[in-house]
Amino acid sequence: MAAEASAAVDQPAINIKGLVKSFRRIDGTTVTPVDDVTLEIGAGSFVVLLGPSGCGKTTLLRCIAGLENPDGGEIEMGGRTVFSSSAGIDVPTHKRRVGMVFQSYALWPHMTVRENVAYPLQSRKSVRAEVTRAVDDALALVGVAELAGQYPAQLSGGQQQRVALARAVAPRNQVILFDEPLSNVDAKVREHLRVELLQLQRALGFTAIYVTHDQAEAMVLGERIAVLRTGKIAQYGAPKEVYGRPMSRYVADFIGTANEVAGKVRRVRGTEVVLDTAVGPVEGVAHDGWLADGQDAVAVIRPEKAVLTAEPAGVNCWPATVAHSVFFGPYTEHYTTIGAALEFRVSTADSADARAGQCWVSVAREDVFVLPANDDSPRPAAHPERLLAPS
Amino acid sequence: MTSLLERPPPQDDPVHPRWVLGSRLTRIAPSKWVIGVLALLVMALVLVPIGSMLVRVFFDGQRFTLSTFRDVFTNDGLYPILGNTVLVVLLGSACAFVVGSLFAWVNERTDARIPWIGELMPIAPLMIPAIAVAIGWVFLLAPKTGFLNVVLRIVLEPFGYHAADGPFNVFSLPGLILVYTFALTPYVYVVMAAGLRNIDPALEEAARVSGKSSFSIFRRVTLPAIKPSVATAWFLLGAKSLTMFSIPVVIGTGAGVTVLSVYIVRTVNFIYPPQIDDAMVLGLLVLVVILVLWRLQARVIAKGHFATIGGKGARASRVRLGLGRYVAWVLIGAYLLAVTILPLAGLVLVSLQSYWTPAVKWASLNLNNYRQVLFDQPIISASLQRSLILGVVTATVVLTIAMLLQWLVRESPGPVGRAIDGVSKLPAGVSSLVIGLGFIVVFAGPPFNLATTVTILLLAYIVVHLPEATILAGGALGQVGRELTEASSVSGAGPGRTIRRVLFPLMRPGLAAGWALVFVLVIDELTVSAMLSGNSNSVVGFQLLFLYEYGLFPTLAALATVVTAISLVVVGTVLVVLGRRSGVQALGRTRSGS
Repeated sequence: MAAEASAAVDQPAINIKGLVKSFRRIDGTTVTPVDDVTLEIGAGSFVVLLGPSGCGKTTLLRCIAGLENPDGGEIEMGGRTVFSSSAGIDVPTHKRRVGMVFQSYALWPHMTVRENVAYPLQSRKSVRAEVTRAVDDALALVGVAELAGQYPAQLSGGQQQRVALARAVAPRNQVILFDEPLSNVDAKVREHLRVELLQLQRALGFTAIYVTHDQAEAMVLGERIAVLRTGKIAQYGAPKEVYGRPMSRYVADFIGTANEVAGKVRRVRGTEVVLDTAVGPVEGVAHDGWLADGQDAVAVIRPEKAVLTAEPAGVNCWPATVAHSVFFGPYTEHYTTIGAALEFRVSTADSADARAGQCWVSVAREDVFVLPANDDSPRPAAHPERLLAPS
Repeated sequence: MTSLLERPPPQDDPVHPRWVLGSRLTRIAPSKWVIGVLALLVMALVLVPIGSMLVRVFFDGQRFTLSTFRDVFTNDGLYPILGNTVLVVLLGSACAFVVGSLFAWVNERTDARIPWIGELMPIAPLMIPAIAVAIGWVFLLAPKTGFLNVVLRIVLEPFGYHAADGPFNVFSLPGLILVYTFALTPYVYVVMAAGLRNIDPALEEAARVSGKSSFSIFRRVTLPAIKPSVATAWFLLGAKSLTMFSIPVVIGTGAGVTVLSVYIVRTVNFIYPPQIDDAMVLGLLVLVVILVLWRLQARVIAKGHFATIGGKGARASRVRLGLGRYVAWVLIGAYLLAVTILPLAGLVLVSLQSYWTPAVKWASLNLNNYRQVLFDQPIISASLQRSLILGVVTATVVLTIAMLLQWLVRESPGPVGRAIDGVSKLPAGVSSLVIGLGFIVVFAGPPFNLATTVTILLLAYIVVHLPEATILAGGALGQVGRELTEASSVSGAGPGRTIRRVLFPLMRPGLAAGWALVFVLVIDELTVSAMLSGNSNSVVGFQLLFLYEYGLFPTLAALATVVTAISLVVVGTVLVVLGRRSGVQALGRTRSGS
């Protein structure tokens, strides 16, 4: 197992190069839900494709499964080219050896749980005794062994999703695709299933590609997150990077809550930046070489990185008015206004901080991440060693 | 758990060379090719006969000519037939429209609603074939010997009615229109009920608040609001009544009213030498009229300005009919009697007699005619057997085709899929009259020489019933969420296995209903049977006409009763079986895919 894992690390489980998929709408316009996507997914890793609805994340997943027919590019799985427009290769879905868990569960209603889980094994022409054993194992693994004889209609949503998971893992696929599998189960069950899914993935070592629009889910599950925007990958990195060092305002805004303070770059020194804004100078950090003096920029500040104090303290400190505070349990969110009109959210772990009226908002320099104001402006080629690590 | 972890991963076999052949084409799996070839064959079977007919009408060898048209339209005998046709189509449609709309309104918009009517109406014509209703009414309302006339004469005698025949005569224009109305009403009902169900009740409420009477609300508010349904109903009425064959051939002939459809069929198969070219020109005329009606309907629907579906649950208010309810119930009850019990009673009574007489000798009633039909008369029993076999084979083949083609349509969106879908439904618009003619042109002569064979009947039945099968299979397929078949592909199952293990079992209830429908339609089929069948390889429809022509009424009654019984049993069985299973039908609930 260990040897197998280390051998797999050398070679990405999935390698997508320049993948394009567009649709022609009835009215003649063309949409391109997958627009020149290049993505490398390490063997045994858990990658989340995250984005709002319509960003193309599901289409990308379906291209990997072979359920969509891409217009161009290449997909390699485990060293085998399964799609290549230039070489004319398109391995059909049933020969790609992937597992998939669908949003609707997609359990066959006319088959028992056992028959559902056995189906992919039988499709691969396994020996009967082995099928029985693998089905039992898979059902035990997801904790629904006692449901083997039931029909899907007799199960709860959570149970159905477990069975769907068992069906995907039973044939020991090295790649399993998840298309928003937890969006139909209720919140409590969802949390349970997330944890179990992670444990299962760690235990079995398959490569997971998981589509969701829920950024909290992406954070919990993803070893790496690919944030998608209108068919393109806006950012691909570890959750901490994506959250702490978003490459664009789009990502900053989509992942978590972000306060934005717009201004002009007064001075850049390496990674240190000073921004002139409506609320005065803001000191922050930026990726080396991303900003130039005089450029329009935006300071991104996470609500939990800001501090509320009664007295002014340190750099980046502004007088603010707390309009109202909302108690969420583990934390409290304060809606404040800095200066004349800058809306600014601060979240604090301590509900005692919940006070209305005048106070000071301050943020440490390394927690102010400055980005070019225009998301479409070109970013210098990202050398990982030159990028600022998340704080 | 550990065993699962320890089992070695599946061997990576190299990419199969078949998949590295060429560009896009490699995407399609082998069995998809088989289905693709099948699709081409089916499209050819639908399009070639129609196309050949058009070519033959307009071309004399290589030369474009309209001489056939000139011959047909300069024949003075044609115009009375066209006049009759217009008259019967208009009057029959108008009566059916009034009755059908009224029933739909009563059942959908008033407090006189009878829930099961809505379910019975669409399937009533399936259970009792139109030919049986027509013959049944002949037995009831023939001027001298009609059972109902005899009863009426006895009732009316004290009031001074002493004629030897009458008071009614089914062999008349009103008689013909009456039976047309019986047959056409369900089509209007189904379309109008759907339209009425969907309009916003607030429209009617507003009118009621303005102090209008119920009828005036129906005429001034409700009807205009459902113009699209009205247009669809009239399109259906026009197409159905124009191509209607069983009723005019039975009643119109006796009444001396020949309509176009009957004339076409006679030109082909009942006069010698057959005038195929004339028939085709007239078939083309039918086709053009249906096309025009279809365009008109499409234009009405496209114009818009209709009240669209109101909010859900806005169903509460129904028009209160008061005592009018009883009138409505009597009317509906009378209609149901008229299309079921009454004609059946006529049929059964004659089938038990040695010869058709209104002086029923109850003691001498016997089952001899049934013995004749089922056993003793080899030509009739053979035709019955042939029809049953054709029904089974046609239903099986056409539903298999429809299922596979609909699957192909779903798997290949875009122009190809739309074309396959369109051609599958085309025969419904073309009518079986035209298809029958096309089959004569292509298959009757060389090189196929299939005239009057079972094969030509089978092929024609397949084409004629392809639209019904396609619609039902498409509906059944729609119930199977896309993700269910995708999950099968992802599980490593090729198209063949996906169809066998997932698609077919899940579509089974819908396919069963479709199978029964096509089976019944084939057994009851008259138009194509009359055109393509001959005495040597006759089917039931042909025999029914033959027996009628020769006035062998008791045998005819027995055969019609047998056919009706078969239809009733098959449709009833499907209803019972699917009804009982409906609880278990996970289909609706597990409808997946989003």
